[in-house]
Amino acid sequence: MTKPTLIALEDITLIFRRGWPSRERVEAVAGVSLAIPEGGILALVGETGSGKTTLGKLVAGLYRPTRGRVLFRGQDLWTMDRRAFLEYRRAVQLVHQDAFAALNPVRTIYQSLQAPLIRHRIVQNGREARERAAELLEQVGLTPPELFLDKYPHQLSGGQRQRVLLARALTVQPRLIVADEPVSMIDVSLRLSILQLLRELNRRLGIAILYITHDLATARYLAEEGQLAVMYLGKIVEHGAFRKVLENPRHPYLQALLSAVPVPDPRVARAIRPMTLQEMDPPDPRRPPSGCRFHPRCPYVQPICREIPPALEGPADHQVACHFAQEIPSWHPPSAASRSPWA
Amino acid sequence: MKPLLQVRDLRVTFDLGRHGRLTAVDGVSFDLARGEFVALVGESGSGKSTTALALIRLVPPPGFISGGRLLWWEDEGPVDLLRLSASQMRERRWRDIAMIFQGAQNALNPVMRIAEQMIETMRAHHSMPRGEILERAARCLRMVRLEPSRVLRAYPHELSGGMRQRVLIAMSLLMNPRLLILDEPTTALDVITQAHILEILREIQEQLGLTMLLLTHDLAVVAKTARRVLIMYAGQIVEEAPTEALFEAPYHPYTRGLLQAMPTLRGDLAGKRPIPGAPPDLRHPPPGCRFHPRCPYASEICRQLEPALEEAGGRRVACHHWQQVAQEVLAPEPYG
Repeated sequence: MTKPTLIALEDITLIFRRGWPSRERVEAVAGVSLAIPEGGILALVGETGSGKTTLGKLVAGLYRPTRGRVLFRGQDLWTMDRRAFLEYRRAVQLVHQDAFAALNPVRTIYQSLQAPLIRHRIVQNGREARERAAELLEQVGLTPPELFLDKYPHQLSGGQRQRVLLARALTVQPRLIVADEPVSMIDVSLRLSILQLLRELNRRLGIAILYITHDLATARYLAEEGQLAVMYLGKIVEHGAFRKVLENPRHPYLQALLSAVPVPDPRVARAIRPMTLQEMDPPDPRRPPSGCRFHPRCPYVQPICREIPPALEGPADHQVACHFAQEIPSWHPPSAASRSPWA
Repeated sequence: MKPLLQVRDLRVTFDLGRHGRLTAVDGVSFDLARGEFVALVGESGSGKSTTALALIRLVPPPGFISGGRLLWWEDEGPVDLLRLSASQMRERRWRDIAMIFQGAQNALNPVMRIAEQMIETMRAHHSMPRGEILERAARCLRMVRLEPSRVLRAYPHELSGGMRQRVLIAMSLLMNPRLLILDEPTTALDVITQAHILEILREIQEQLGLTMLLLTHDLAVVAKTARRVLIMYAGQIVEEAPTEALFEAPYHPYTRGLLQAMPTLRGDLAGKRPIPGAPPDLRHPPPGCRFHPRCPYASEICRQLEPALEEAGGRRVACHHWQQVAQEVLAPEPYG
């Protein structure tokens, strides 16, 4: 049974204009369509300049697309009435990478949690607010809550602050959490616990998650049962069911990315050579290449790639935007037997 | 193997005034042999960067080196770097020991072409004709797979982050240092760029027979590069082992915890667990073993007695229960 769609992006393009008089145009997101079902998880993977954060902000309603529509339960975000828009604003919560910057340094944790509770009339008075705030802290694993309620952000560790952000997102009982690199600024030993918490919120409360990251391994941890979308310079280059895509990655960019992911096993890590690209570094995202945006780096480039941008094609559970998706060789991880139990 | 640098009981203390004192590096000892590739692994606050800064005597105030010896081996015998005068030390920096600081790719002078920055670096130590320096610079740039004709006349903003990082590596090679220290050289870079830079580092290290000390928080980066690993926790080295042995069977519960907490692309996810708790506040380190509040193996002795870093089958480990930890490693699973 398929779940109803919560958020759908329909052919979204976002162009930033800046500077005067040149009015430089930067196409940060170019013709992206994606859908997140109720209670689903979508991992959006891309590197610096891919537009993944911008796409997250489009989903959170912080940017208005230049073209295309963002649909919340089938209704266009930017034409719906105020009431529906407010409901949407509650339903979709954004959690940032930098938890320290996202919390008011002169407010206690309780004050940060209490404001949205009262603003959205989820509680009637201060006593209820405190009770609810304590419940929320428990939900995100900050126990006992009394220990945290009256602390200031600087008194907490990075991981604890990230949990507070999640608690604040939960104040308004969201249906979707947009988590933008929520663990990249946290110590390695604490990352997994934040990912576990997100997974738990998804399973227990049925909250859908849009997980934005550059790290395929953490994406797998969260979204293996869900969807994967790979973004490169403003476009989705490969998309589908997470397992299916990783079993048989078709886009040369995803193949290159997979060949570059560090593996925690010396034997395997040394056997893998990162795929040789024409250019090691990505181009300036403000001036994306013509045709297929990956063509200047692609080892399989053909004349057509310089001219015509490939469309994202294929069955819903595995789509690829490459003219030669069927022809290029498959990429497989090296078969070097691992002797490490961790890889 | 001949020793290059022997670090003995190194201590770095930060005087925080009314907030007390903090020992960021607490009795660290290790050896670097000539031509070795070693990784120093730790999380933020573990003291790995401070250790590296101490090796070149650039600990920023209010921190200072409060003890230990840094024996630098030359053909005639060892010199204690801590006993050199400031000007003697300055001469050795960059010439004997070069360090690439974390985020340094963003610290290139934005209004100077790369060629001029390389010449300036070189002239700070040697008077050498321009042409000769440029020739050397071109050679170093080719080693990091950059096209000298293009890069030398570029300004930093015309280069990508990965290219700037490679320019820095090339710059550090200019003077043929014997030890190159790299602090998180790939942390801010894209995954693909990171993989290529790690390959380049390994190549250079093998070709030049240079000694490299790589500081990182990421064990997967280590797997690809270093031959030997030092694991740091709360200002101390808790484990030291050859890379392959470490990944096959970690002896310290912290190392084991780090490996278990790493999400991977393949293999089983069910066995992944986070390390509970958080690293300690070094102003008030826990008594006994500093890892005990987070350790699943902790017993009474761990709460009372600090374990020493001891020899254990060609490795070193600081844990009262290392034998138990070593035995409990899961059966390996095939990759893929």
